[in-house]
Amino acid sequence: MAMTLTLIFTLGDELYGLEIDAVQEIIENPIVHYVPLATGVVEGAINFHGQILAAIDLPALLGFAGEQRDHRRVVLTADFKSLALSVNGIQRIVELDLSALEPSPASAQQKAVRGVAQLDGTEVNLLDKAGVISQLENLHIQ
Amino acid sequence: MDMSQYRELFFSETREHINNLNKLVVTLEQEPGHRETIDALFREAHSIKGMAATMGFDHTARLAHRLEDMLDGFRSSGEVPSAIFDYLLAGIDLLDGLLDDLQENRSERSINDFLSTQPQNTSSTVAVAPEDGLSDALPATAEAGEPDAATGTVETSADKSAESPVRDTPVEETDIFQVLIDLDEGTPASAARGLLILRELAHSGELITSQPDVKGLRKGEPCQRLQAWLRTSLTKEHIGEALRKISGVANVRFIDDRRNRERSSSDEAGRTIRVRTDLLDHFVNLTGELITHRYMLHSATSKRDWNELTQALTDTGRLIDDLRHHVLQSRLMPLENITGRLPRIVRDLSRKADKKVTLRLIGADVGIDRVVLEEITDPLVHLVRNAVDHGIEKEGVVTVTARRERDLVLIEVADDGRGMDPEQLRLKALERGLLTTLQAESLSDHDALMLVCQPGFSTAEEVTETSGRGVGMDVVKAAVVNLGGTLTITAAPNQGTSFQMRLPLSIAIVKLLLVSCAGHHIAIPITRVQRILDLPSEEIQGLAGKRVFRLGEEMVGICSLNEALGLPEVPAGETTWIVLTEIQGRHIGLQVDRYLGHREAFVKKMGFPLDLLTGLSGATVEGDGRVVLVVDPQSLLDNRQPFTND
Repeated sequence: MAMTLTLIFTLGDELYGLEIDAVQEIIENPIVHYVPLATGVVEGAINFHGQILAAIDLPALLGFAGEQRDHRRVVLTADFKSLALSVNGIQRIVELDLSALEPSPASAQQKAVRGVAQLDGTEVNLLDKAGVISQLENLHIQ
Repeated sequence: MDMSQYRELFFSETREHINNLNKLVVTLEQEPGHRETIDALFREAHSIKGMAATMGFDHTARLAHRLEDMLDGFRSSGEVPSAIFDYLLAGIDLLDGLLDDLQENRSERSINDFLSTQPQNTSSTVAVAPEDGLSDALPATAEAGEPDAATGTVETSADKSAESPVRDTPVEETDIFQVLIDLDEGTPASAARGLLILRELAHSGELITSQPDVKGLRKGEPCQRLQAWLRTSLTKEHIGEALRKISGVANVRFIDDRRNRERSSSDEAGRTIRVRTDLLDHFVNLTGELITHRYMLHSATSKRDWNELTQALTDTGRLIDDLRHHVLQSRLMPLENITGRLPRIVRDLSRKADKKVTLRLIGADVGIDRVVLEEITDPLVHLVRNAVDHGIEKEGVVTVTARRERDLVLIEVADDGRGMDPEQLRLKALERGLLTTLQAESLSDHDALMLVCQPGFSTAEEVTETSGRGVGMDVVKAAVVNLGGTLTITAAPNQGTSFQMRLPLSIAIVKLLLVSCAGHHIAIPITRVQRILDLPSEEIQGLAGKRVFRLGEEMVGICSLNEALGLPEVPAGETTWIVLTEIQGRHIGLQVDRYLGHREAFVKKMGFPLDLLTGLSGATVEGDGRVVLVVDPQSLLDNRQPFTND
């Protein structure tokens, strides 16, 4: 059984997972610089080692209720579109079997879930990066 | 190997070669038979062939190969038939077209029509048809281009190329080897053996030449060692094996030909840029000095000697400036890379329009950043086309001048033709409903001339082939502005027209104006700013619901940058800060809360999806890590201040 290191975090009251390979870094309390013209889920810009990345409010993008956010941010690797995501809470890193994902329920279509894995009897939604990007693309941020 | 990373380099290098080909052909046409020019042409075609084959661009490689072969023929004959020039130029154009296809990810266009057309009087080196007898094949190749060769005229050998299996195989990677064959000492009838060996070689590929050659061997020249140059797609092992089977052959050796090395070194060049050695030496010196200064800083810090620290910091700053200047210098390429293609364009255009146009190029050695150079190519060509097409009436001079003006490069395209009349342009703009009568009257001559840069505004009464297609003046202007440059036009009726493009030397480091809007620092590229004004607030008037101020003869509209950026308005005090900029040829005053100063900065592209925001062209990081956004006034205000009715 192939196990994959996976970062577990919460969006609303659901558990989400993201393969560690897709995570560049988890940064503590970065300064989010205000970007005029950008609104809503694009919170601003982060100076990430000299790169200027968009700070994205992931719970708001995917329509989760709840105000509270983790003080840390998840920076995605640059091989994809690099983004600094905020989530409701970062929990831990676990080993998950991602070889046999269950399909996500139809209701999760807008929630960027690419499949559901099991962790100690609880369901973990695997975050679909491409889904996040395409939702951002479709969003008129201006 | 993944070649995709070399694509861009391949394109720019190959365009450079095509550029040179065009220029050299026009030169050769004026002085046919000029040896060095033919050699240079051959080398250009050879480089393109090698690079295209490496990239796997079949058609491009084949076409370049054909041109190379043809030129090689002229090299050996020393003569260039006059009928060949149009054919050569057509081939070069086709190469250019192939590059367009590749660059736009289309499949390469067909080159068969061109390859199947044979120009008249071509003496070209072509491959051997191996099925032919030795007596037919060898002289034609070994001494191509010499009509008095033992058998067959050059024309027949050219015709054979069409059927030759070597030529018909698409893009076979061929190499040129020098083969050294030693015969056993005392071999009887060594000349006959030599002929046999040459025949074998002719079967393995294209025998370029040999020492001794067929003629000599036929005369019975003794042959202890045979030296032959072979162009082949076969491996050395394969050829060696075949040769060793011939009785009397003692030893076979292969030497890679210089031409192969030329090809690989030009691949290398695709990954590098040429830097003068004195520049490199300067880098070394500067690095040394910087290291020294690091110790000075350390020592001053440990001694807490503020004077020494200040001095060391100042010196270090100067060194860094110097370093930056020279690093940027190493990215510069001479303008020659694009002006080189102008003689060809002017030749073709003036022929077509039956005009007599002289082209003068001044300052083609001025260096300009590679990126800027690429972006400015089409606009420059368009301006020259315009000058020939519209400026010059029957006969005249088009002058392209380049020179440095501090941080900028000025490129001017001037003609001594019919010029333009600002009054006529005003009338035309009125006619088209681009301006109201009031606006037309208040428009300065300078601004009236700029009307030709409005999309869809053309002064040409008739649409000619050249003016009716391709980029218009609006595209020229946009390209210049996108690079952070400016375009100005000077003209008067019957006194010629001059277009001046002022472009930044480099686009990586930009001078920025820093302003404050609702507490945020915002940067504007200084190239977009004409002036900074601190107006007494009472000088601002209301006109038709808009706020305006007087600037000389002109009433300039004010636009709040806070508002445009969606930031809260801050009421101005006694002084209103205005950043004067130009949007679509009109002055606009951008009101900001405060002017903070200016600085040079490295502007970065912002990450997705911030890069989708129109109005923001990037961001820069300040010393304290603060991210400052760079605003592009043109795109920010474009939608808000429609000037045209489109």
